[in-house]
Amino acid sequence: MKKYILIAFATIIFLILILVSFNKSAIVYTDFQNAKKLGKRVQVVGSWIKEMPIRYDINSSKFEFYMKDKKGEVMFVSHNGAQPNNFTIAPEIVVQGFVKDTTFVASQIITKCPSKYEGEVEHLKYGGEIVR
Amino acid sequence: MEAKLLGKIILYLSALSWLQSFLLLLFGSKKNEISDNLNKYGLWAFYSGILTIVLASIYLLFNILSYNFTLSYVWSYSSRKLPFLLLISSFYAGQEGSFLLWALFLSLVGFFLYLYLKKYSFEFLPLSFLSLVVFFITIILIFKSPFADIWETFPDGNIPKDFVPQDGRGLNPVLENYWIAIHPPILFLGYSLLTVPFVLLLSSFVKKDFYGFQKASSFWALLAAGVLGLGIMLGGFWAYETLGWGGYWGWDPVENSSLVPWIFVTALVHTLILQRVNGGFIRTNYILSWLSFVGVLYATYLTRSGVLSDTSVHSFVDPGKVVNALLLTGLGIFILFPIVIFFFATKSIPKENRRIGSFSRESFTIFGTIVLILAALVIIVGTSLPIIQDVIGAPKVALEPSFYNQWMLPIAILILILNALSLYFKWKDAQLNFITKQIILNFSLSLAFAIIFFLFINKSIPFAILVFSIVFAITINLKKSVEKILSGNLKLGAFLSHLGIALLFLGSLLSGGLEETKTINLIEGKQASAFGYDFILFKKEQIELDKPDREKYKFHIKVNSSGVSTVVKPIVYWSEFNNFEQPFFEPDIKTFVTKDLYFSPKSLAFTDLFSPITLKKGQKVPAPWSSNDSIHFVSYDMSSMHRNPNQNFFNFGLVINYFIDGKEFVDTVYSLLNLNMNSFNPVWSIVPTKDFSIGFIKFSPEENLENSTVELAFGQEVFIADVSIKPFILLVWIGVIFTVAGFIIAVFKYRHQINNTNFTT
Repeated sequence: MKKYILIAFATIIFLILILVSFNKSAIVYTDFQNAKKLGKRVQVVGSWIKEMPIRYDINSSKFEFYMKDKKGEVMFVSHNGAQPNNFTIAPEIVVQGFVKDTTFVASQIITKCPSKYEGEVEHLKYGGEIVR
Repeated sequence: MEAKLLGKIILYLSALSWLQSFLLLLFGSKKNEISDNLNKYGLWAFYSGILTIVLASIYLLFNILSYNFTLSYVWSYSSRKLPFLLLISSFYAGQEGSFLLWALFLSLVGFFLYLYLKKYSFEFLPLSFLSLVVFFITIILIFKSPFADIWETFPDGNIPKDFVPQDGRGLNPVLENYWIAIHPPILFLGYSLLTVPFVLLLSSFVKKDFYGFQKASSFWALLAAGVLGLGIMLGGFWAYETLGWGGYWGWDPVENSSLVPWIFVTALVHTLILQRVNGGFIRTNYILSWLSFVGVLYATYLTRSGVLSDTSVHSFVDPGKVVNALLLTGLGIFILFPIVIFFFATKSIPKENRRIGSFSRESFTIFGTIVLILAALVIIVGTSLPIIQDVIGAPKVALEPSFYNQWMLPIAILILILNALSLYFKWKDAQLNFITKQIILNFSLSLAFAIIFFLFINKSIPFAILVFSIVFAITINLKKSVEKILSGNLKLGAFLSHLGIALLFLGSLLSGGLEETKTINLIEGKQASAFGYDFILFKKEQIELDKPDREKYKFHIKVNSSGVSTVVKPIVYWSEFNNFEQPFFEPDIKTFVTKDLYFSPKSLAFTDLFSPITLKKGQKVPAPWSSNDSIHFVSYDMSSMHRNPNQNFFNFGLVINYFIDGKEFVDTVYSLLNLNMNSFNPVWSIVPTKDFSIGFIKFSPEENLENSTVELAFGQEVFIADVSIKPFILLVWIGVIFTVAGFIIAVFKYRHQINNTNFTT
C-alpha cells in the first residue's frame, strides 16, 4: 500500500509542477485597457474596424489596422507579417502581443471563420437551384 | 426518403447485434465452450454486427458514388466535380462518416481478432468487450446519422420536401489532396487496433488469468503502435508538405490527442516485455492498455464535442447536446468500468517477490516507462487546459507551444539516455564495471559532439545536453545493431525503433532549433532576398483550367544563390467553396540533403502607389499619376446581378474610360460583392500601358445611384511569403520511418509467440 501512496504523491507533485509551469507559457485573454497596464504579452479579442485605414507596408512587412475590443476601446494594431487569411470576412479576431505606447504590437493574429466551412442551410439555398 | 430509411434500419440492426454480441458472449464466457448456446448465438450476433457495419459502409459509399444529395452528409462533403479518389474520401470527411469508418475498422479488426483467438483456442470474452465498444459507436451513429436527409438536418431552412440539390457542397479544398485518402484511414486503423490490447487485458482481469492474454497482447500492441505511429507521421508530413503550416508538428490539441494514446501503447509494448521476463507488472500492463484506449476516447471527445473549436485547426463544430452527452457517457463507462474490475481482480494477482537488479534492463525499462507516462501527462494537462479552465471557472488563457517544448526537452534527454542504456544491460542483472568500459567510447564521442555544438552552433546548455544524449543513443544503437547483424541475428526491431527515435529527436532539434524564417514581398520582376537566396517572381500561370469551380495559379519564382539555381512554384487559388472570397495557399519545398528551403505563401496584398480617388457617376478627373492623363467613370455595370437575381454574391462593375498619352481606353473594373458576408473584394486589373493596377475598393450608397460615390485605388500586387530554412529535416522523416519499421519487424517476431499450450499457463 505504501508504494501506491508514494506513486499518488509523486503524481500530484508532478501535476502541480505542470500547472505552475503554465504561467510562463500562458497568455491571458484581456482587453486593451488592461493590456496597457500589464505591458506583457496578452491576447485581445475584438473586431477589425472596416471604416478606418488598413494597410500593408511593403517596406517594413507590417500589416496595420484599427481594432475595437469587446469593451469598445479602439486601438491601432501593427502586426509583423502579412494580412492573415479570412481577415476581412472574420467576424471576430484575436490578436496576440503587447502594448507599446499607443500601438498594439501583434505577433500573431487568429481569425475566427464564421462557419468553419461546415455545411449550413444558407449554402444549401444558393448552392443548388430548386428543381421541381 | 428510402435512402434515409434503409440506412437507419441497418444502423439499428447493427446496434442491436453488437448489444446482443456483448451480452451473450459476456455470459457465455463462464462456460467458454463454442458449443454452448450463449456463445453460439453470441458469435452469430457478432457476425451480424460486422456484416451490418460493412453493409452500412457500402451503402453510404453507394450514395456518395451515385451523388445522392438528398442525404445531407453526401451533400455536405462531396460534389460531382470531385475526382474518384477524393469522392471516396468524402466518406469520412465529416463527423458522421468518420464515426462509421471507426466502427468499420473496429469490426474488421474484431474479425481478425476472432480468427486469432480461434486459432490459439482462446476465450471469446475479448470479443464481448469489443462489441460493447462498437455498440457505443453505433448508438452515436444512430443519433448523428450519415443517412439523415436534408429536410431533417435543416428543419427551419424552409426546404420543400421533394427538393433535390443538383450538386453537393464539396470537400473543403484544403483537403483536396491524395493525403486525405491515406492519413485518416491509417489513423483510424491505429485507433481500432489499440482497442485490442485493452479488451484482451480487461478480459484477463475479469477471468483472473494474468498470463495468457498478456502474451497475446504483445502482437496487437506492437501492431497498434506501428500503425498509429505511421498515421501520426503521415499527418505531420501532410501538414508540412501541402498545408503550409510551416512545420510537421504544432502541438495542436488534435495532434496531441493522437500522440497520447501512442505514447501509452508504446509504454505498454515495453512493460509487456517486462512481464514476460519478470512475471510481474500485471497491474501496470492493465493500466497502460486502459489508458491508451481511454486516450482514444478522450481524443474523440476533445475533437468531436466542439470544446476545442476555438483553439484547434482540426476540431469539428459542436455536434449537439445528445451526441455530446453520449460521448461523455461512453467516456465515463470506459473509465469507470475497468477501474471497478481492477479492484475486484487485483487481490487475485499472485504475490511473488521478484527482485529487480538496479543495473538491469528491467530497471531502465521501468524508468523509461515512467518518463513516457510523464510526457503523456504533460501533454494531457496542456491539451485539456481549456476544459480545466471551464470547470474551475478560471479566466481563459492560451498555451503557447513553448510550454510543450520546455517540458519535452528534459523528457527527450531522459528518454534518449534510457533508450541507449537499456539495450546495454542484460535482463535480470548486469555488472556495472563491464558496462562502463564498453560505453566509454560512446560517452566521449557524444561529449565531443556536444562541445562542438555548444561552441560553434548554438550556445545553449540544454541543447548541448540534448545533443550529447542524441549522439549517445545513435552510436550505441548503431553499434548494437551491427553486433547483432554480425552474430546472424536479424531481430532488429527494437534497435531500429530506438535508433529511429534518436534520429527523430536529432532532426527536430536541428530543423526546429536552428530554423530561420523571413517574410519576403515579391512584386513581379523585382528581386527580394532572404538567407543569401535571391527570389524573382517571373511568371503567373493559371492551372487546372478545365475545372470551373476554381481559379488556381502557380507562381513561378526563380531562386538564385551561389551554386543553386532553381524555381519554386507555390500555389494560390480561389475556390467556389467559399465563393472565391479568400485565397488558399500551398507551399513549395526544395529539399537538399542538409536542409529544406520552405517557401510558404501567406497572402496577396496591394501597395497603394497613389492616394485613392472618389468619384460620382459621370465625373471625369485628372489621373493621379499624371495631370495630362484623366479618368472618366462612365457608368455602373450590374449585369452580373441581373443575370442571377437569387444569388447573394455578384460582380459589381464600373465602366471606366482612360485618357492616357492622348489615347482612349475603355475597361470595366469589378469588385466581388457578397451580401451574406457584407464584404467587398476588388478584382484588380492592370491600368492600360502602366505596370500597376486599378481596384474598385469602396462603394458608398446614397438614395440613388447618381449621388452614390465609388472609391478607386491604384497599386501593385504584392505576393507575400515566408521563406524558411529547415536544417536536416530529412532526419525527422528517416527517424519516424525507422521507428515504425522497428514496430512492424517486431510484429512479425511476435506473431507466433503464443500457441495452444501457452494459453493455460
